[in-house]
Amino acid sequence: MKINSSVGFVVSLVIVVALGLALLYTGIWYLVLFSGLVAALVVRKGYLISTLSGFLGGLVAILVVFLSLPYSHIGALMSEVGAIAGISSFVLIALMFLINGGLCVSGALIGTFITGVIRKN
Amino acid sequence: MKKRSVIAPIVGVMIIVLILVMGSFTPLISILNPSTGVIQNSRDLVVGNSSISLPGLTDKVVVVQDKYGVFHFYAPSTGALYYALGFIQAKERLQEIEVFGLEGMGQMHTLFGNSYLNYDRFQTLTGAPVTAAKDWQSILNNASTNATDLLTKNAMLSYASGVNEYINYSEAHHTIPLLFKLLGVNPYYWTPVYSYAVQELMTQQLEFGDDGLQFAVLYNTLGNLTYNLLPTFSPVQNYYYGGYSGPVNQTVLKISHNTFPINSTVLSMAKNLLYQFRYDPPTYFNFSTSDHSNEIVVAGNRTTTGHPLLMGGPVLGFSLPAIWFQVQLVAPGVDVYGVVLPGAPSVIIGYNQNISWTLTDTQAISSGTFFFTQQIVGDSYIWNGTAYPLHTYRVNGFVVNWTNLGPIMEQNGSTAIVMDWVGNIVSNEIGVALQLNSAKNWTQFRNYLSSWVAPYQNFAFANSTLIADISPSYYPIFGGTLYNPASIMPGNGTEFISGSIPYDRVPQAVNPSSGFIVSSNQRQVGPGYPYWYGITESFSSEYRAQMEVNYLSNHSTISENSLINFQGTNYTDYQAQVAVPHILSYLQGSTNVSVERAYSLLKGWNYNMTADSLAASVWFFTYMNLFNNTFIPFLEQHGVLPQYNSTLGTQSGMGGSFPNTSGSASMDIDMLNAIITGTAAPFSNASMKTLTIESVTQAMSFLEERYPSGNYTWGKFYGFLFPNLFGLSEFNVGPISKGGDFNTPNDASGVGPNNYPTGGQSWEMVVNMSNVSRSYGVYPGGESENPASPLYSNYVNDWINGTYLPLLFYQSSSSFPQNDTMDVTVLTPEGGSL
Repeated sequence: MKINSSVGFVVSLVIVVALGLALLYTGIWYLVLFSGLVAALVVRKGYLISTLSGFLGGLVAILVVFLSLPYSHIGALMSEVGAIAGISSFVLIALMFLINGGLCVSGALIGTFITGVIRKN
Repeated sequence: MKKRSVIAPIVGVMIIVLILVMGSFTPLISILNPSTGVIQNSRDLVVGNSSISLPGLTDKVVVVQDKYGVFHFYAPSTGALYYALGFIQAKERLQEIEVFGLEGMGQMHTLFGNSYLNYDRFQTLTGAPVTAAKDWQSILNNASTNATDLLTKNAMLSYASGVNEYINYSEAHHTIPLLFKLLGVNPYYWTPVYSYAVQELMTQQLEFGDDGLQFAVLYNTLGNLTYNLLPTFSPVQNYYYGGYSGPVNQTVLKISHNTFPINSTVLSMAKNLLYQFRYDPPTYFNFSTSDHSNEIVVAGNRTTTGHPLLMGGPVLGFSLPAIWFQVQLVAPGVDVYGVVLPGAPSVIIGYNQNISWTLTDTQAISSGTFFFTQQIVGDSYIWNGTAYPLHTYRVNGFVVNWTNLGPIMEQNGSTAIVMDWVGNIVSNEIGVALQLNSAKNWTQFRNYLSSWVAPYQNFAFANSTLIADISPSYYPIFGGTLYNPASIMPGNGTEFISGSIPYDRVPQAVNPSSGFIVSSNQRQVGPGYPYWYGITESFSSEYRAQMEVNYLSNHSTISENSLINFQGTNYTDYQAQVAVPHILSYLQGSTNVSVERAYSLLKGWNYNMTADSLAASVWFFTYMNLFNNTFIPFLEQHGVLPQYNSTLGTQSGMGGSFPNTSGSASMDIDMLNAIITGTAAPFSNASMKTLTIESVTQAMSFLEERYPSGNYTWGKFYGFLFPNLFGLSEFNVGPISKGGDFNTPNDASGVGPNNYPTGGQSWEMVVNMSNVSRSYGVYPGGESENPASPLYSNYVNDWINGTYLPLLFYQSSSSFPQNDTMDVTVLTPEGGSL
């Protein structure tokens, strides 16, 4: 079935978010790269769509985790960790989002590459 | 394949590698992991009702957290009660509990790395880990025949199960405390041996010292002048709660003035050992303060209610989280309110429906730490000319050898210094405290305390009709040649511990005619006491106790509010009250402008160390300078300083209030005596007039230089700092200005800006025995150890302001009013129903 880029982006995003969340809850953070990879293999809309949806999906997945927690306390908690680590809590939270987004993007890039290889063969 | 097509996957792989590298070399990935990392701990900060199902719990327990944050446990069995206490205390304080356990056991390096090996080595050397294991083994051995041990065994096992269940729970829910997450380790499982290590730690905190070594070194340098510097009896003390204020017992005085001369080998070892006491302290975290606690009981005929009042204020070093955890424990046979320690399930200070009690340290008998020189030949020690095999323990990777007297602390060839420390006597104070929790009357209370060994404590007691105080403990009696036990003694068998002061002769008083008892670390019994009970250096200078006695003597009717105000905000300095009139007489006639200004301020002063007082600053710095001008040249002339600066330290007044100095109760007493008598001999040949004018001039110069406007109020220098227990200065609170000084109930040595006091009354409590539900208390801290929690330091301002919180005391969870409740946690056995 042929789908246009917008729909592909949305489908890819949904896959990344849903699968990313499931993989996040395994406790092995690195596994979320498979959410980007799987989305790229399923949607096959090229690097731009897979990268954008992977990154955004990664951010949304973290946001959902935040919302599932008593998020009003997270600021105080991260300030505490930041004070111990000597890093601002904002940087720590940003890093958390970036790492998750980065893992999803890397999965998406590899997935898109694999798609291309499969197509050529 | 085109080059361009492989760039994207390479970028992807590089991102993964980058994150992997970050995760390998920093803890960031595990800390920030959204599903297992630190943000999961936010769930612990939620205040709200909850229900938790726990394997191992036998009965449903309701835990009400009252509106002040205090936990009230309601259980249908004592097993479930102590299990629930372990679980909830671990939930709030697991880091503290675990670190205390490691500290007591000498295993700090297992969590914090090899930089703690010296500490662990010294802690192991003291015998604390060995004794903790023996304590628990003794309970297991005797539980079938001894009621106290059976009670203890059951309570300790239940408590340990509760702590461990919280560890399992927090691991399953990814909420193990931040310390463990940041260090990348899991908490270790708790056992009762760790609880006894905490008991050892508290005994060390209160009864462990190097006084004997210090005395030996001083005597070696000063000779008989040591008896002037560190006199046996105080020339200024008037009040002894346990009596014996008659003439000096000459036998006791003779023992004190018969110091065993040490040779150069022993002197060298004593210096080495002093260095270790100073730099590898047996208690790592900064709880050490001069042990200056307060306890007062007032009889019903002197109170507004017609029934006794009890006031408690144990002084310990401050920390956040605080050492105390405030609870009410209710189960069949138990209904007790008070404070517990991390890792031990018994209320240490508190009350039940029938009785109340509080503790202060007796500080008697050289802190229960005695040193002997003993001959070691190969694997044997010599006692009365006979060789006996050393007992060797291998603990924590270290080897410790014990003789019949205790662990060998230092050895040079065949000569050793051996330590006989009261903490190394196998005992069960946690069990005694468990019994006290349910005591119904004075007879029971006193009987339970008969097996108390250490730390040396004064137990103030009140019920609805009676007040009492008793100082039970194992106070050694020495036999043989009777050298001074305050110094190093010969360990060849000629001098030995032949027993302990009989229980009916330890200091005690019941319903005295004065209508009150004060036991605030002053010497409990007078110079007529027939047993050697320590020298002035051991006890607190009695100024605080005397100030309390004066207050009670001058107030015929005492209410709970007057006791609260007295304890929290009365800043009368008794030492100043006695000394300042003499100081004024020494200053009379001086034409120096600064001295005249000081004279004017001191003359109009009411001796209150209030934060807005100028005279208080003048008094404090005058006294401190007077102390230095009297003693430092003396110590220098006789070669004590600077030779022993790194081992004995340099003394300063008021408990060592100046930075990087140590205190000396004896020298504070000597100083007041010199001010009163008008002569500083033999410490100084200068007249008191000369010394005082010099000291006032120095004090005024310092104050006016620092505050040229003349606004050098005491609050500019004095206040309290509450340090984070784990050394994270970001989570310190303070310094916060408050009145008082070393001689007031809220005392702690220190002065800002470089040495703010970090200790004081760690749990202030006033119990009303006409109705215990109308009792009040506060401690400077909060129930949570998590700095992100609103309950981390929420009591600090109340403590500073002298605001005591009502101690809510309800017999059942159903009777707990909704508007007094913060939240309710229901703990149910796994598989059970609510």
